[in-house]
Amino acid sequence: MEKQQLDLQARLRNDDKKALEEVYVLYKEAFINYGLRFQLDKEDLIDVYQDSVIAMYQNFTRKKVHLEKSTLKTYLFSIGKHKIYDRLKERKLLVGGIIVEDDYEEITLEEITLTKEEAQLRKYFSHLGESCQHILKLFYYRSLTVKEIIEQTHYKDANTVKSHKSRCLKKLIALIKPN
Amino acid sequence: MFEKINRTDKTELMENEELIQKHIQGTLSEAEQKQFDVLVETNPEFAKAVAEFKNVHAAISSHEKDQLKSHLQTFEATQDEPKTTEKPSRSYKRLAVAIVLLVFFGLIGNYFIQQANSNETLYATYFEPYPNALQPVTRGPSDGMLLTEATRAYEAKNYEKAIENFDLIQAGFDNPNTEISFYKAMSLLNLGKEKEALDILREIKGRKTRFTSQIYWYGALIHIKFDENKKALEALKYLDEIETTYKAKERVILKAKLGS
Repeated sequence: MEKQQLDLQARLRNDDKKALEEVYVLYKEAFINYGLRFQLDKEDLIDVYQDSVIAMYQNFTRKKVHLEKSTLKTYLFSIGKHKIYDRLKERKLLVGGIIVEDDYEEITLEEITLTKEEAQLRKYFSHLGESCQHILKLFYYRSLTVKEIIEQTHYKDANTVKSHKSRCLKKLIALIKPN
Repeated sequence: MFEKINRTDKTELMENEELIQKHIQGTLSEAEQKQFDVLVETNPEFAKAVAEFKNVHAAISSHEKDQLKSHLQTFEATQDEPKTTEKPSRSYKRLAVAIVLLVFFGLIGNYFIQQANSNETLYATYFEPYPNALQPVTRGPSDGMLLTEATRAYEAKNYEKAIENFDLIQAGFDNPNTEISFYKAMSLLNLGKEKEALDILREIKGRKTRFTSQIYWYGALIHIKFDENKKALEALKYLDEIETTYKAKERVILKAKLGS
C-alpha cells in the first residue's frame, strides 16, 4: 500500500481532524456520484456521506483499524453503502430491493443506541471541564494506555494520569447520581 | 507487607484495565481473551469495571459523533464549489473564503438587524391605542352594566379587566358582536398580544362594521411587526380601494417605506 495512504490511516488513528477533512474532500464527489444511482438526492447524500466518514473515523480512533488489503476508499464506500440502504429504508424507498452491483461489500455497523445510564453519562460528560473531558476521552474512548497518554500529553507520570482520570470519572458519576 | 499487596493489586488492576481496553478495541489475543473471560466469570469487581468502561465508552462515542457531525457540517459549509482550472495557493484560498464569508454574513446580519429595527420602529411609530368609541364614559358610580365596566376599564388602560368584561358581554350573544370583538382585539394589542389580536381581526374583517378601516389598519401594523411586509402592503392597498380617509397620510408614508 502507498505510503501516503498508510500515513493518512495513522493520522486517522491518532484522532487528527485535519486528516478527517482530507478524507472528506478526497472522496466526496465520487461518493455523491456513486450514491445518485440509489435515487437519493444530493442533499441526502451529503448527509449520508458525512455520517459514513464519521463512522469510518470513529472506527480508526476507537478500534485502531489497520487496513491492509482494502483501500480507504473501498472501506469508506462499504460503510457508505450500508448507510445508504439505511436511509432508503427510513424513507421507505427500498421497495422490492434495489440491487446494485459494485465492488463494495456492505459493512454493517453496530449502531449506538444508548441505555438510560449511558444517555445520562453522555449528557453530563459535556458538563465536565475541558481537561476532564480530554483525559476521559483518551482513556475510555480512544483506549490509550497510561503509557501512551503520558507520551502524547503533558502529564508527567503514570500516577498523575491515573489520579486525574479517577477524579474525573468520579466527578462524572457524581453528576448523574442525584438523578 | 500491606503496602506490597496494595501495589500488586494496583498493578493487576491496571493490567485489567488494559484488558478491557483491548476488549473494546477487539484486539485481544487468544490467550488474553481467555484471561478476560475467566475474569468476567470469577471476579465481580472486574465484571463491574467492564460494564462501567462500556457505559463511559458508549457515552463519549455518542458525544464525539455529534461533535464530528457539527465539525463536518461547518466544514462542508465553508467548502468551495467545483474547482476552477487555476489553483490559487492554499493560504490565499482560505483567506479568500474567510473574506467572502465575513462579508456575506456581515451583510446578511446587517440586513436582518436593519430589517428588524426598521419594522419594530415602524410599528412603534404608527401604533397608538384606538380610542373608546363604544359608548361615552360618564363619571360617577357605575350603572353595573357590563359595557360600562368594560369601557371604563378600557379607558383606564386596564386592558385585562376590559377583556374579561368583553368576554362576559360576548357570552350573552348567540353570535359574537363585531364591535366588542374589535375592542377585545385592541385590548390584546395594548397588552402586546399581537398574534391573538390578529386572529380576531381576521375573523371580523369581512363583517359589515363601522370599524372596517381600523381593522385593516391595525392588521397592517401587526404584519409589519411580524416582518410580513407583503401582507401589510395588501392590507394598506385594500384601504385605498375602499377609499377611506382613515390614516390616509400615514398610509402613503408606510407604503413608500414598505415598497422600497
